[in-house]
Amino acid sequence: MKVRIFQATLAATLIFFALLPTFADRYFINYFLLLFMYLTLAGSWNIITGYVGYLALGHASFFGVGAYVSALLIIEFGVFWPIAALAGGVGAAICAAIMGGICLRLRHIFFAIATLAFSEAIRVIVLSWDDVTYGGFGVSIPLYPYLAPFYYFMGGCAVATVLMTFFLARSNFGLRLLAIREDEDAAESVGVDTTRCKIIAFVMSAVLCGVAGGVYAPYITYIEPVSTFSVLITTQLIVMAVFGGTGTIWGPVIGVILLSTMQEIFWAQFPYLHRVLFGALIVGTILWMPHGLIDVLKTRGLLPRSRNL
Amino acid sequence: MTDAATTTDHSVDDGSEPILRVENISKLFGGVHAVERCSMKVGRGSITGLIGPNGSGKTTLFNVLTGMTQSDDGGAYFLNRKINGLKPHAIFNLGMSRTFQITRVFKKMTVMENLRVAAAHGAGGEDILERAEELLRLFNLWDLHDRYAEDLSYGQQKLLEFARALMPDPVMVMLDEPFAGVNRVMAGKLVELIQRFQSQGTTFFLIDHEMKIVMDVCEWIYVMDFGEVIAKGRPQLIRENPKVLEAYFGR
Repeated sequence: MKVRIFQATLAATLIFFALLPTFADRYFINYFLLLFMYLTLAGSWNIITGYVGYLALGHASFFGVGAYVSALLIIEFGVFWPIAALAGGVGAAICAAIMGGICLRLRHIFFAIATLAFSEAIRVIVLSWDDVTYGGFGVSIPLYPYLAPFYYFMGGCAVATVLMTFFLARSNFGLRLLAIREDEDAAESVGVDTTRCKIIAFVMSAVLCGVAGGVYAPYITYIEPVSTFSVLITTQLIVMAVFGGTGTIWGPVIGVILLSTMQEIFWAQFPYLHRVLFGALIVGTILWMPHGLIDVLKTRGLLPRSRNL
Repeated sequence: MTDAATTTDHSVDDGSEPILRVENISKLFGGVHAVERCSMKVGRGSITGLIGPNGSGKTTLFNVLTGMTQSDDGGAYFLNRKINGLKPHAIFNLGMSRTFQITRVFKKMTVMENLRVAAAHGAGGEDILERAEELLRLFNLWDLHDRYAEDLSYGQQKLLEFARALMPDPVMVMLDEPFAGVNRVMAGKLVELIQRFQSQGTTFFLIDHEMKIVMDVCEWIYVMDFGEVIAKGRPQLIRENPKVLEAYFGR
């Protein structure tokens, strides 16, 4: 019965969002497009950090690489933007395979620092390689006159992220990732090729970030290195995922929805104080529910302790 | 290769092909010889024991043999394949599994998931579940199959870890102190399980301090002290060996 209600709600939500551009104001379409983008980013990050237990601090670079690959393909080669966006995903995947191959030899905080350093290195490369990337001038992409296609594409990314996490949580591969999170040496000792699994998971957690970046660039029409590779993007998605609950399917989704809504309200109501309020919220989350909202609901018995949540 | 499985005597002094050969393995930890030129043979289908005082290098040797630590010198051969230098998962996939001195079950995973993750590669989904259920029933853990491993008692976690090691139907199981910290009833249960799987052809190589059980269960025993093998032989001979008595009680 509960499963039925859940499925019906899910279906209704999907239909609502599918029809939204036909009746809603541009403000809402833009708002939900960015919400979908954060769903994609937070959900993707959750795979490497929530399921494998490796704190990654460089996800902005996958987003940025996707955005740049897409933008440059559009302006230099006239590639149609949806194809350029997918190519952005490929770019991010290659980038993650290289970054993972190097950084995943490290564990714990050392891995976190290495990913942060690596993503800064990518930003500096993009900033200084101006023959190709136009450096600090940034890249302007000609305006594509319709909003709805971007909205749907970004929505597709968000749905794909949730589906990927869902199948991961139920698969044997996902179990191997959980085993790595629990005890990496013990996982090796029961036949898990930990290096290979970690690199695959890292690439999985990067690819949709790249696609999201690839959609974002033609949507926003102008990108430059500082904001596209900003650490703020990484911290934002981490805060959202942690608020909802890492290592769960729906945690990042709930975190993104609640926090983006709250930010929007704070920002409108308290134009000067909204950052302070948001900071207080982060502190509160870490103090009172370090494992996120889903975990709180599970321990209170309001949700079943299931891997499918 | 002689067919050791048909012989009733499982020890290696009958000239049969050993399943595991350890040849002059050495391991240094910053100048200290944790293991020094150790050589051993484990007979196919045997229960072989490895004893010695604390710090004598037993666990280090196990870690070398399972790929968790790299040896500095010497060679280890499992089923006639060199295994030192391989990663732990590769050694596991050759058919050698292990347990740990302090149990290392995956705590935030269910009992069933703990077994599923250790299933042999290429095994089908149905086969995995069947094998897991069979083992859990045998280990009296079936009723707990959807509990998180962290909710189990220490003894149950020990059983779970043992079941997990048996999951891929390994050729050989290395048990690091299986009887440490378990009560008499549980120890009896473990002995019964070890003997049951031995009768089905599994080889066991185990470390323990519980001298009485080791003497009763093992057919062949190696004794280590200060990283070296100081004695080997059948239990009754080991019991009377003056070197062993000195290593345990003499200092």
